[in-house]
Amino acid sequence: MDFNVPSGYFDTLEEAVVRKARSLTPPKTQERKATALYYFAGIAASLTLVFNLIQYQQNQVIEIEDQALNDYIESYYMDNLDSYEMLSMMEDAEIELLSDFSNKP
Amino acid sequence: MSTSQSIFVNALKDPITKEEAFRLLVSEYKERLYWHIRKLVLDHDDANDVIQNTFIKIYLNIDGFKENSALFTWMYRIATNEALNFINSKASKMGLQNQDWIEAKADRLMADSYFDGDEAAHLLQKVVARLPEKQRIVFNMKYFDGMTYEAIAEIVDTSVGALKASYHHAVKKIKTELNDKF
Repeated sequence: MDFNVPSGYFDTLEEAVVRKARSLTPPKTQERKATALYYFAGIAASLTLVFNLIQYQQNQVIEIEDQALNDYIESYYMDNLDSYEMLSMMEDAEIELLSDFSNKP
Repeated sequence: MSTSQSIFVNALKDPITKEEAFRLLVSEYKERLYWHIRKLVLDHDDANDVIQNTFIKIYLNIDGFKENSALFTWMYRIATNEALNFINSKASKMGLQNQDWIEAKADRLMADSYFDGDEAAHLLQKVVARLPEKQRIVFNMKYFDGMTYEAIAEIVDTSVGALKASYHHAVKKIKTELNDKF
């Protein structure tokens, strides 16, 4: 090779270039880190909200199902029962309450 | 594009890892790019300016690198364009054509403390400097850097056939001029 360079040139070149590049970018890197944090916080909050909504809806469904079952028993099933069948389904304590009433004048 | 190169490019594009990846890039490619630039601009101080501008341009534009070519091809292309733009700028400031400016540089090589060549080497540089710009670039990459026509074609965006013709003409011209001198 007929050309040469000053002694240690390539080491100083690397440092000079990296220093120049570094001077071009620090604010953006910090901004992007903060932005990433906001994104993660937003995603976490959204997931929490969705999870709670799903839980609430499930509870609503259970309540509705219970209510529907009670309505069925009271409206349809009970209408077709005679008094003997109704009494057989009741607890003893509940029957005693009824008998208290039946003694009323 | 190889997987390892894709991983490296992704590291260059990621703001978290960019600086460290860029340092590795500079460390790996600084000499190859420098010598390519140096053979175009001839002078060390000029080559130093151009190589730094080249790496900064790579740093600022890496996000736009679409991996349609190899990373080194893309970098080499930037280096070539930066060198030619530099020559154009210097020549314009002195009111010269690019060719005249580079020939004047070649004439002064023997006085350059960073040129080790003998009279024959100096003569070769003067003859190469008289080639048209594209022929000079192709000749440098083929003869001095030993690159394949395919690699050169990617960098200068010219067909392999056109490059072979260009190189053939360059070699013929150089041989004629050297024969005339000796």
